Amino acid sequence: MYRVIIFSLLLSYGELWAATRRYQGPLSFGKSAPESAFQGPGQTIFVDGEGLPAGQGNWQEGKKIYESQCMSCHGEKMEGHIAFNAPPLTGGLGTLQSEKPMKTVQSYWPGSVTLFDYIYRAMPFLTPKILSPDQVYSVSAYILGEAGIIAKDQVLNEKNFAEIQMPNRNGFLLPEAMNHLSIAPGKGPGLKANTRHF
Amino acid sequence: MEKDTFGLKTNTYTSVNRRQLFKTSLVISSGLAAGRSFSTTDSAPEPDRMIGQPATDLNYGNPSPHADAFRKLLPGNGYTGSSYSPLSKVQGALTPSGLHFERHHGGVADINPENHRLYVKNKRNRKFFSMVDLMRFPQRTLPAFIECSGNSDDCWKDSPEFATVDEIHGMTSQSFWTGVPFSWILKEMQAPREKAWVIAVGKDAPSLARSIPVEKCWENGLIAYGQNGEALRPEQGFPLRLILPGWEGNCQVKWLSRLELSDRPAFSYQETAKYSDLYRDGKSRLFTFAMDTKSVITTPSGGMQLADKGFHEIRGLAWSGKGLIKKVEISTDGGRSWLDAELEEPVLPFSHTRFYFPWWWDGAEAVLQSRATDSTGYRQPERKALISARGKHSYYHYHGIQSWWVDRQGSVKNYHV
Repeated sequence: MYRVIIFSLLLSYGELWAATRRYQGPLSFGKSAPESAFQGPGQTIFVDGEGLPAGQGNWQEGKKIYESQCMSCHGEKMEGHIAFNAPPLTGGLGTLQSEKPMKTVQSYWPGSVTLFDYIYRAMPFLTPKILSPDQVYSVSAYILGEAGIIAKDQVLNEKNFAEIQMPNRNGFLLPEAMNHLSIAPGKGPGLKANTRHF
Repeated sequence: MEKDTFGLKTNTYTSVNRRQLFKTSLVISSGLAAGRSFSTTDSAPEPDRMIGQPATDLNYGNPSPHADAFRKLLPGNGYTGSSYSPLSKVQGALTPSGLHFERHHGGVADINPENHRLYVKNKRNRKFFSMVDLMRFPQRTLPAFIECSGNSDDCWKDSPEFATVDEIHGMTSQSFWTGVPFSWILKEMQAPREKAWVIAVGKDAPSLARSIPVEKCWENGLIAYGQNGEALRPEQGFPLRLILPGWEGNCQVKWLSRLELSDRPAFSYQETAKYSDLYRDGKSRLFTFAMDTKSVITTPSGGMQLADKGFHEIRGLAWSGKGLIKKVEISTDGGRSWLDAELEEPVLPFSHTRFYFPWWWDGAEAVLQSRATDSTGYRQPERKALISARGKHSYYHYHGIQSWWVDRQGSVKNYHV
């Protein structure tokens, strides 16, 4: 009986339940994630080379991989295949101001690292992420070698890849509001701020 | 089993298998569409002279078998390809989820939400959230159109390939998106307010990646799991996608699985080799995020036939990635004279806005145009002005005025003024 009275008193004074309050603190959701969750094929690789995995490759190895994994869509001479929506990888130099601009790795892409990055994360098209870093360095060396951007005897690795000078590296403009952005000189594309957006 | 009115085998009414009945009705309607003679609506009793179909036990309702609004695949590889939304058939400003346009870069990912994780990373810490965690965060719903920045690219060409508003402009759709305000995730990540980037990565085959200025994420970004009152459609990124109201579709990453804070953009494939705008000077513009002010007349539009002289309501859609639509003007004489259209309330920011204009067709040739002005004061340009500024090869971000030519027979055609 005594207990019941105490209980009722507590209830009537609202001391058992907290008063209505708006919670405005942190939520503290989520669990700690390992660094490995951000690594492997599909990982973030910056155009200045940060994030490139260790490895190396060359033109000869790259030719073999290209012929077995890439050629069926991108063609014997990297000319692409319209029915597969596979773009040409080479050609089109000097066409960007013409009536028929042709945008390829050779003629358009500003940064070499983008080639490694896109093959590593997205290719081969039907079975992405099956190539090892060494294989991706090799197939990149083959494409860049065929495009005449690097010498065919050059060995590519995570240290020298970002220094490859792409033909259209100075062909890109940033919006004016982003003109504080820059890329380490000699690594990746050169960028200029654009002063006017129509 | 016995034969029904249409001579098709079916169960008796009392033991009817409803799924079967639904399939049967589909067969009937496809028979009608194909013009076969086994059933005609003329010989069937009037709907109010017979009992209707029972409530179905289908888990999910379907459009009427007579409905005629469909998405269509654009030519090309289906995995990397696109399907457009039937703007000529969509009613009002909202797009039904099943008619939302598609654009994929490695097919539609198949993701079990129980296994899905959103990994977030900054210099100090790394975390992941399950879908259950994400649904515990504060939830908000916002309206927003999504437009592929390659929408309307046909209009850059002197000789257009496409004829209809669906094909030409159908890569824009309007939805209500539900999810976690991006700001809550940024707070959990202890992200800076400015001068930082978030690299968003999808769980699709190419791990599509885009770098997004953190300012936009704070402002009105949403990590969405809902679309128009239900879960996202697989084609729209089930179970999780990024919504950045008004920005080009490509950066609103679908099947969202990673967010990485950085002091600079990654300059990924999708933001350099693609989705960069090549101008006439041979230089390409990077990071053109916001979609421009745009409008198009959806009725009457290319491929349609005016039934008769007399009253026709001109209907269309207008939208802007930079704010609200303030005004839409209509011209029926190829841009010589303009009058305001009526905007349907409520006019929502970053949203399709429906407009109407009453028109009497006297049987003479006409060129119908609409032009939109948004809350920044920017007015949709003529095609010629756009081309003179950019050239014909920027591919992305076309937003010039669309012209439809009506000939004396009332046939409506795509036309460049």
